Amino acid sequence: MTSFKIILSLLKAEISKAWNKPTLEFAVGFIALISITSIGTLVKIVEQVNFQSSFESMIVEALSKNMSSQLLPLTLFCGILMSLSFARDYEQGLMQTLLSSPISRSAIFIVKFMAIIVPLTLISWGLILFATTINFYSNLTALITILQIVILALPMIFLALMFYGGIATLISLTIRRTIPSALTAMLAGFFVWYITTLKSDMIGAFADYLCLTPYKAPQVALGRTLGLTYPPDTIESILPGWGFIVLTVIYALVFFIPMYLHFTRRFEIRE
Amino acid sequence: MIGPNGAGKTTTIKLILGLIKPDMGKAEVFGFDCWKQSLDVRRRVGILYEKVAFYDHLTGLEHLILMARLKGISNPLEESKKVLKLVGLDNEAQHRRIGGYSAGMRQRIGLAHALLGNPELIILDEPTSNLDPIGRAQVIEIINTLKSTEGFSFLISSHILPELEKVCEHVVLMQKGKVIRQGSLIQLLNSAAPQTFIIKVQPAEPLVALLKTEECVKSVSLTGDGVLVVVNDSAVFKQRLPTLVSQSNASLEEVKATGKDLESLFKLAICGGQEE
Repeated sequence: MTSFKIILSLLKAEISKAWNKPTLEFAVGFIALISITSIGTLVKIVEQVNFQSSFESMIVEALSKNMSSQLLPLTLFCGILMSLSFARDYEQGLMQTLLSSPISRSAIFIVKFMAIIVPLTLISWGLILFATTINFYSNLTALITILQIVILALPMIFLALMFYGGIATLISLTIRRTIPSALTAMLAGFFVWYITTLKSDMIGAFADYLCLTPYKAPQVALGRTLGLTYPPDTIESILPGWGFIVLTVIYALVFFIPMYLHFTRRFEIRE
Repeated sequence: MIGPNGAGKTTTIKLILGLIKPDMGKAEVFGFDCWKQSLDVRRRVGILYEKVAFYDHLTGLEHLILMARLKGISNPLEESKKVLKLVGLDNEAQHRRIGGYSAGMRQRIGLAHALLGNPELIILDEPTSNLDPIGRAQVIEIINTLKSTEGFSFLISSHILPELEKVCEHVVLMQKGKVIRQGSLIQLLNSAAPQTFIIKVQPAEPLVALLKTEECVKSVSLTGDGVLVVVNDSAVFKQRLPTLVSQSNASLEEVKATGKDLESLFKLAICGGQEE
């Protein structure tokens, strides 16, 4: 059993490697830009169209919109960073060095995975909180309300990123080359987003079920948890809120668990 | 551990460390199953790979402290400083980022990593292949010093045979995944006594064809250095050679009887087609 102190040391090294200059600066800057732009636009819409909405529902709408606009760049970042963590280490030989240390493969896999997912989740969530706060802050009570609402986005962002992280790990450990892995992982993330943009005139009745995709499910799960109302007779309103949460959890684990098992039991360092 | 490319040297090392699973059978080191009890094996073994890789954003000392922690060493700072001294990196370089190190310094840090925690066995996979002649000599010198003064045991896989000869006591020669020769260096070199000649001749093919029909010749093969001939009777061979060269219409450039060294043993075993 690898001790907590050892895991912490490895996690620290992995985080500092993955988020080394200028990755962190670029990620924060890019996601901040999206966060601030999307909320600013929404406030205007809410004020003009739905000016009688309560303060809380404005925050909910803003949060939902912000998360929706952040998810695509987050998936792309996740693909690149996972490839840098797994494929590059394999390509350059650091994976071989780590796997030759007397530390369990479970610890190596979880540390490498979480060194990407956790900071990315925190960056995204922190920027949503910041953007929401600067848009809706009026007093301390307002700040507490904002915090209470925005905190719910944290697990959903994490679970959504687990899904893309799982895909990217699968691609990285299959291709084992940094650039092809990063490009393929980005393409996979883009594809998952793209299918949600298809309209009913292109895919017919399937369009009604797009809310069940890995891209939309976490957003609807968050929306339903926060009490957002969806048009009647749509899957979003018919399915219970917990159904979307369960779906999000399943998506989060659907690649993570097989990749964990593959890495801990069968992953081999071969030329 | 020597052998041509694809002989299975690196695969053997990966099997020892549990990085690959044996297709059949099992590998054991210190009584531990290398796949099922790989953590126990890795606690007792230090490794330096040919493709040496580090956390390049960390300094040499920081990297070693991290690796010492991963090895479960209780006093990582002291241990790291100790091994840095052993490889001659206990200077200001230890506080610089590894990303800025030269190939020689990277190899030293890799060696220091392998030495962490006084392992019972240190495996070096092509430790000098990426280094210039000076760097190679330095690494060989360090290995020799560590072997003689600190009592470390090394398992070295390499192609650079003259260097290996300076440090090794026991040789395992592999080809296509099988051990074809093994024993102490002196014993093997003595056993490699059969008369072997390297003939530089242009063109070589007609002479090779003629040599294959000679009774005094045990085996013939064409190598990069020329025609490698293992003979049964060197006196007869020396007598016949001028005639054969003349018959093959070739121009003889050089005839060299090979000495008793690892390189000759290697060529003889690999190209001479003799298997134990």
